[in-house]
Amino acid sequence: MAAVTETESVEKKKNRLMNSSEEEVAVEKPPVINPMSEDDSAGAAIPVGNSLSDQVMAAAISETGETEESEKKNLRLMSSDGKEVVVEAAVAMKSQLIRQMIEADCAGGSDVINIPNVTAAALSLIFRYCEKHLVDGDGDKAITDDLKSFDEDFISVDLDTLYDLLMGSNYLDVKGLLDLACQKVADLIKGKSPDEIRRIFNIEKDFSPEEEEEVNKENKWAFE
Amino acid sequence: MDSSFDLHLPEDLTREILLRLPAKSVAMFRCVSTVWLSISTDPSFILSHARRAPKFLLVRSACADKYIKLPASGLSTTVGINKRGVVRISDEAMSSCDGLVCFRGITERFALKTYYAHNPLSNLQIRMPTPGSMYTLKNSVCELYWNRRRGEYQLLNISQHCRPNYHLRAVVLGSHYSSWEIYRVPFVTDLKKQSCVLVNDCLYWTCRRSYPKSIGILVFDTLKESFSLMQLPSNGRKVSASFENYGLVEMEGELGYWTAELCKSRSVRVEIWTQMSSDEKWRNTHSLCLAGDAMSLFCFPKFLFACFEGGFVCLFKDEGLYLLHWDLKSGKYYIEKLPMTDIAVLPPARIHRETLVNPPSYLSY
Repeated sequence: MAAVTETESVEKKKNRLMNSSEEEVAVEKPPVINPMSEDDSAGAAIPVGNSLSDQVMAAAISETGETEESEKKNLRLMSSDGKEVVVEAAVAMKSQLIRQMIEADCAGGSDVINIPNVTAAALSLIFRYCEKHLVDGDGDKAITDDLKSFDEDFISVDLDTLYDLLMGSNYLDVKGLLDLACQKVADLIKGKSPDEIRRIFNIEKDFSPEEEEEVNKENKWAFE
Repeated sequence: MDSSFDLHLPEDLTREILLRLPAKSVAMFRCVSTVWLSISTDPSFILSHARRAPKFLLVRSACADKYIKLPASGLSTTVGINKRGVVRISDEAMSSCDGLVCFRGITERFALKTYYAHNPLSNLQIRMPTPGSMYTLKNSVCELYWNRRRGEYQLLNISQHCRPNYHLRAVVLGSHYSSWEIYRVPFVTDLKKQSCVLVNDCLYWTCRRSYPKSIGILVFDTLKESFSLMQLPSNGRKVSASFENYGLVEMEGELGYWTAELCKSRSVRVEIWTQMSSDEKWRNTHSLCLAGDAMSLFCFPKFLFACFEGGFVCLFKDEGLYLLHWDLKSGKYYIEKLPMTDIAVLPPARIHRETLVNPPSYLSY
């Protein structure tokens, strides 16, 4: 996979997922559904069609099966700043929004999915998280420890990036990342004063003097 | 931090962030804006926040009017009790639910034994009406729990007023004294009253029956408001004469039953069984063998088993106060001696959280 040249602000190591937008992803042969696959979603026969939804679903199923002909289907997403992001279907499906769009075949006629609320830089970051978290690691201490240290490094970013991750993961519905980002923000603001909170979140104080006095009186114990 | 968010956070994300803050911080941030105030005072937010709050053990200090918080790891801290005229507090009748602590005390003014419910954080406190005759209070314990059917906190008092049967008295927190409801336990048993555990809307007590001689579990379904009896796991019924070396515990949404017995090899074997629902069989899920110096601590069996933060903590007393930390996943354990000398008699410890839940305003007495 060639490194992308279009998004200048993102470091190269975060571009692992992104193909050059000029490359056409050609599907050489129709994906084969392995009847021995243990994936539950392959219980019923799924017709292999040409629509994006069918191809992605078939690719997702064949990926979990043990066929050698499984093709890794890529998805093309259009970010809010007009750049195209290409990502593996399995990685993108960690986002419940994208998963639902694919399953409901909302892509319409074109192969490109519109993500009007998230920038390309944020998208690539989010998909980097998704790719790392593709393995479940349930019960395996080594994997969960590795994921935990990845998460700690991943979320140690400046406030602007944290905001983008927060809003992006909320819009795309990536539960693990949303939880991680919310917890990080909570840890950052835990010890601050209400004035600092207003400054950080750009909030106006909209209490009348009487209301403010009442709130302070009722919650006096919190300041002790 | 010198930078700030350029744009506003939507309300649902603000709520998610507030859910992850400690109770004190949420209360402090209520004055940030009217939106933050409405989010953080919404009753469903307060309940969700309470259920997420980290747990710790709460023990009442014997010689001072304070609580001692024992986190799963780290130093213990003290929290004051708002006495408001309460002279003596009963150690047996103490219960904690969603950050509300309920205890039985004697007031100077009335010389009556009354129940109090308060949140140690905000120190808001209410006095509860007494359930009938004084005898019922003398030999009873109280249990505070969330009644899901009614959507309110209920206070339970179980006592053996009319022998041989026990009576369960329940009242909604904050309601009138005449609204104590009485349920007669239909079985003749000898309850281990302090063993009460609430799991999935059912209350469980261990009990002994004389005829036939056996140990079982008494169940009160709070939704159906009915009693039933339950069997212990078949290989967990051999217990010694001491009443203390077995008990019930709530383990992450499942009912747990533990036993601790002295083995021939001079070690202590602790076994835990869990059961997801009363229709299921018991599964022997964990087992621990404590040898050496740990064993001597179990010779004075006054302990509480509590399960929180993914591990298992047992509080017991020999010359001091000890915590057994047992990581259930890895099976590793260590014993921590707590630097506390002001506990003369080991009071019961309770699982507690720091929350924003306040006792409901008292309607009338």
